[in-house]
Amino acid sequence: MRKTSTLERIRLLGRVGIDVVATLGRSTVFLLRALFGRGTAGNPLQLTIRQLYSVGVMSLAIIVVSGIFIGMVLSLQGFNILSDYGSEQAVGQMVALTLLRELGPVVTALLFAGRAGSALTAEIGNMKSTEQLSSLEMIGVDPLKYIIAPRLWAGFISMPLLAVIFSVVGIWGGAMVAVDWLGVYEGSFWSNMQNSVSFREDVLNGVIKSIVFGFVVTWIAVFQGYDCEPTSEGISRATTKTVVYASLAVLGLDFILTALMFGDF
Amino acid sequence: MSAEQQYAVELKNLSFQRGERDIFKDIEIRIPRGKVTGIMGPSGCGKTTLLRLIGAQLRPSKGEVWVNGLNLPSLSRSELFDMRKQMGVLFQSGALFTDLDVFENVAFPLRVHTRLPDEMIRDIVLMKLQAVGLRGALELMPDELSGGMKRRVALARAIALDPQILMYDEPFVGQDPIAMGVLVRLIRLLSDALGITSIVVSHDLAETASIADYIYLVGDTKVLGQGTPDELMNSDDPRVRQFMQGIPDGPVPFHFPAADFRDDLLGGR
Amino acid sequence: MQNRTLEIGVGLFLLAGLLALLLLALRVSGLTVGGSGDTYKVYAHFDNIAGLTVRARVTMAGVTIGKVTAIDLDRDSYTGRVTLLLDDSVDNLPIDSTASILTAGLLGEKYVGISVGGDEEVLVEGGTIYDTQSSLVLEDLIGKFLLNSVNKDEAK
Repeated sequence: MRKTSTLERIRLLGRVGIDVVATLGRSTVFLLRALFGRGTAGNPLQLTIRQLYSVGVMSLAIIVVSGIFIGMVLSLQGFNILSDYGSEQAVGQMVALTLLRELGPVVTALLFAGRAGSALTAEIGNMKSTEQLSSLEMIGVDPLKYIIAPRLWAGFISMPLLAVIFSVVGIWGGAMVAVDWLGVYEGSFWSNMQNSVSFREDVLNGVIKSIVFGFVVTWIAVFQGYDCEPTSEGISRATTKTVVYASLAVLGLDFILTALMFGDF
Repeated sequence: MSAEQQYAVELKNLSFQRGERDIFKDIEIRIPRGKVTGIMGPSGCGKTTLLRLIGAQLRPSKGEVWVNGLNLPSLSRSELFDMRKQMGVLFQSGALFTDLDVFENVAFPLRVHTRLPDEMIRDIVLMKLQAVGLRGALELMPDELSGGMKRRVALARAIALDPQILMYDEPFVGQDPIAMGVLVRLIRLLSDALGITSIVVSHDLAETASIADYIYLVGDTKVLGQGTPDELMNSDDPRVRQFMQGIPDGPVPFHFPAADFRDDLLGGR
Repeated sequence: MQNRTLEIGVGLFLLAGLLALLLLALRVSGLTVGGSGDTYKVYAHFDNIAGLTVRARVTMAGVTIGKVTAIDLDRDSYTGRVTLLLDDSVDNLPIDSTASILTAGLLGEKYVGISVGGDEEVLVEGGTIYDTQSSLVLEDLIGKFLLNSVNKDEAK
């Protein structure tokens, strides 16, 4: 009896493994076909611009508001700790480095997964369940080209821009708190920041991170929508999956990227 | 007339499996050109699957699907997309693009497949909408339409490129009698006036029988019967008769396969 | 019309993103346009580089003139060899200039300060600064201080 149950567990493990590999394979084929497959439908630029609006511009509000608050909180917390050592003027450096290297790309990616990612999944899932994707196919238009590819590109382009905007707004929020409210001398706030932030190592590495996150989050969101079970239950499950998988992927990748980029410290 | 010209669609020796389950096993279906062919059968017997096989959205596990002299499973992805321009499908839900209005929905196939000037596209769209009686609904969005109107707009879109083959997936489900009457008339009209080969997948007996020239009855992974509506009505085959006359119990059992009722009751679970 | 507002929105969004990147470059990281011109490399050997890191600034009279690009151990002399990348605009450093490892503030970062020498010959690509002053190691300092006080006690 016990023996069969162990065997059964091994079988279940094997099945999970096969499922994971199969999904990875399907999603890779899906991605390659959407991005590099032949045949176009409509004007790809026009379609991408439309998606840039719904993916990027519509996410701006949440990104800007969260950016300001996170910058302000960082500044406040940093000031409290740094003032113990009498180095309040380093608060600018702290806020800027934290935002550029970590919080900018990561928080933006998490917010993006929640705001735009879930919307993408739900939208595509809905198109699938109402047979719009099938109907495109039967009209002779490849939905991968017409629906999926513009959304992928829009996500890839939006994320780094959103992350950069997030960082700038956050630094501005931090400066407001530190300089205007807590009375850190403005000159030393900025010069400290400028001395310690390097464009290539900090700003560009942050941008690279957000490009990777944008790629992964959009890929997950769009694939989950395309691959979902075409029922309302299936769509809601796929939406949840998008947010969970995308968040986990972002956090995991962040560690790997950080280790690669800043590991020699 | 050679066989190839006589039949628009031919399924030869076709099998299809979903997972472990057989949906079709070695079925043979020939759809005559320019006629209305009904494909009927009980719910869940894979009628929609059959349409997807003809549209090459699904790949058969075995066998051949010939459409206009092309064997679909042997075509490449881009050849398939080309082939589909000769086909129109009216999906059960209409499947209108929710972010486009009625005009743009009908214009969509023209915009992506032709380089016609805007005025000409406009003329064609108006013509098609006039044919389905919805020229007045030009600027409405799909969610402002009733179910029957959606299906008519979808029909206008399906015929926008003047396809040779039109497939209807359960066109009569959930329609009020008037909308149903309109659709029946439209399907017949399109077939007679334009010579379109129509394939109607349905389980609505009366409507299908009233427009179809020929009917295939599928069920239980096989073709159960075929013939003109009259022939099927008077068939001796008990399974055909059960379906055509709507008898609850018969060769297609009322009960889902189960253990003996008495055993189940006494088994106490 | 609706398309127009949409396109304007996207345009503004792209513009905002690029502007933000520009702000990060100029205002936050203090990147100067055209400043990243040609550089040349010199080496400096220190007895102890404790605490100095790659990317640290190299200054002269408080002005940043370059950065540290590599730190490794010279096997022959058992000293720390620091590679300095200096701006080409500062090509008149005498060969006997002094490099010292300094600390910004009490707990601040380490950086390399160069004080000018008097020789006629100047440092060129691949040159070496021999006159160096090592990092101040707190433990050594405390050790010396303790030793001093012990000596004083004994002298009494």
